[in-house]
Amino acid sequence: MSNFDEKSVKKETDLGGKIAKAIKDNWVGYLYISPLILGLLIFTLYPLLSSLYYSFFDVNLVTPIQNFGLQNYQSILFGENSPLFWQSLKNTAVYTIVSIPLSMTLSYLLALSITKNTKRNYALRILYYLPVLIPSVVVGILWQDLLNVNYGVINTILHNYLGFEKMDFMTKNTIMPTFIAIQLLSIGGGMIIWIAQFKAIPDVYYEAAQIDGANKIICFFKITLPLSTPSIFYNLVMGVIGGFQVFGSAYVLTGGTGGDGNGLYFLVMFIYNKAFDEINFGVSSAASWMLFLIIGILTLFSFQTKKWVHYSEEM
Amino acid sequence: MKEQKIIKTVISSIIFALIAVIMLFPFFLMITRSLMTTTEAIDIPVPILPSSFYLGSYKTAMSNDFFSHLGNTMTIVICNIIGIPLSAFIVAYGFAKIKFKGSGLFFSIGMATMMIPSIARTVPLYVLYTKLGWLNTLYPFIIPQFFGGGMTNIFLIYTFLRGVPNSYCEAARIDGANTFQITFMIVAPLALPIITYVAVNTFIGAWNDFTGPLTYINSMYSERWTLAVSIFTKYRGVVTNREKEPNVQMALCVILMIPPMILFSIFQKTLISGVAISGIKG
Repeated sequence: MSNFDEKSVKKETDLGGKIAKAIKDNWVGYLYISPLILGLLIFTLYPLLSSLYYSFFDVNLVTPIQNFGLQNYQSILFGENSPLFWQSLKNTAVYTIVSIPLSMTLSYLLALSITKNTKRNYALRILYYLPVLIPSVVVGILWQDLLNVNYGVINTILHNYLGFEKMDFMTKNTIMPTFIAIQLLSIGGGMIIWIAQFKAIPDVYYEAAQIDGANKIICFFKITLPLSTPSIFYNLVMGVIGGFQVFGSAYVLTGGTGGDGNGLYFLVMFIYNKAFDEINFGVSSAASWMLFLIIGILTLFSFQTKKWVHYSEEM
Repeated sequence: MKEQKIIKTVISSIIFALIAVIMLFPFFLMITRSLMTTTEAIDIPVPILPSSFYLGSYKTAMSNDFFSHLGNTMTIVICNIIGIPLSAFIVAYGFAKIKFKGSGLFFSIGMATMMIPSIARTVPLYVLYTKLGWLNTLYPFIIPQFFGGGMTNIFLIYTFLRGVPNSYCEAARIDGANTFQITFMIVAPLALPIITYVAVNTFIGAWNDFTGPLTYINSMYSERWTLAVSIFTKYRGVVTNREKEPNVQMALCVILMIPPMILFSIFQKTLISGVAISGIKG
């Protein structure tokens, strides 16, 4: 009898003691990260789940939420909204697949050529970084002005000074290449990252290689490139995630319409316009979750195929 | 041999200069066009250089609601540069320097949230803000900023803090300091470079933010807009070339770009090295 009592009493004390100890040891940490946890709960988790909820209903701000079902998903995949949805997806995919690797390659090459710490290179780096500071609103408005068919400066130069025909840069077929070209002016941002990555490679590798008689090209392929793969991977993933969310400057450039024939209608624009133009929150939320799904799959895929990334601990 | 080297240097310099010209040409045009009169700016063929140093476009740009927009923008920006670096630093310190159960879990959860497209939160946030009565006010751009300021910033400061030797903290603890004192009196000064980077970046982001105010502030309350939004909406849907007032548009753009440019020239070194740190992984 007394044994049984003692044991159960000890168990209770232990559990209480354990909880008290856990709180005592960990409360400071949780206090520090509490802004994040609260913020995530209120401004990320709750909206995310609400959005999932809305995607299964008819949600506008006028009638009460009604009609549970897959109608929104059906609408964007096969039904009424599907032509625009698939076009948005196609535009977004084309933009990301073309522009991200292209700008990464160009910025990487540019970085390679001005890594040495000369005065000239310092100046060039700053000059090349300046376009990155231009806000997306300004990019949209500026290029809308410069590319104007009649009084745009670009056409004036092409037509009056160089003798070419005036080009309409904003037609259904020309607007995507134009947009990608505009974005390429910001490769200065990536360039800075690569330069820092190159500087992080210890000189000893290059010195050793030179003693062994390696020339510049071999140095690049055997040392520089493999050792920059962690950065390449990270920036590629972040680039794709960002690329799929392209919106701001395209919205401004086309005045919110997505351009002639919807040439610049991107997924985020679809989501945004469905919500705030058409007040169809249900369809908009369904499309957001499709976007989320796509990004998730792409991210997971890139982590699964990570074998080509070299980590210096393995050298 | 020496001639070959000189030729190589000259050619490469020309190429680099050309690249710089291509990249900065739009900039240059923005400025020159802001100095034209409207008649000049929509002339066909359009001149590349203005005929005179005309500042009228700037005067027009700064009329109407310009100063209330400027005030709104300043309010948002100031709250952002206080809230985001402060809360991001605190959270990052918690992850980097404090051992507690579950820190790894919450860190991973936080990192995973970087994958969530922000547009997915926009619609429900709109509903939430409606319920809170925050629509058409500046609250959506002030309050959420005190909750960590985004995992990107937190991760950046976290990475930096990991490089700060724990011996500083331990020495302080031996001297009797508690955790809060260590955080703010010892580590915070050490983390000044990265905090500055986050602050400057936040300034530029908040100053230029356009989709946020566009979404949460209805056009009926246009005086509550920020500068970035007003540039966009002012000429939206305008039809004739003359009404478009490209010179005034450009003037507005130039004005919008001045503070970020100033900040950039002051904090150049910090900014560029911060960009570098944020991009090197592994």
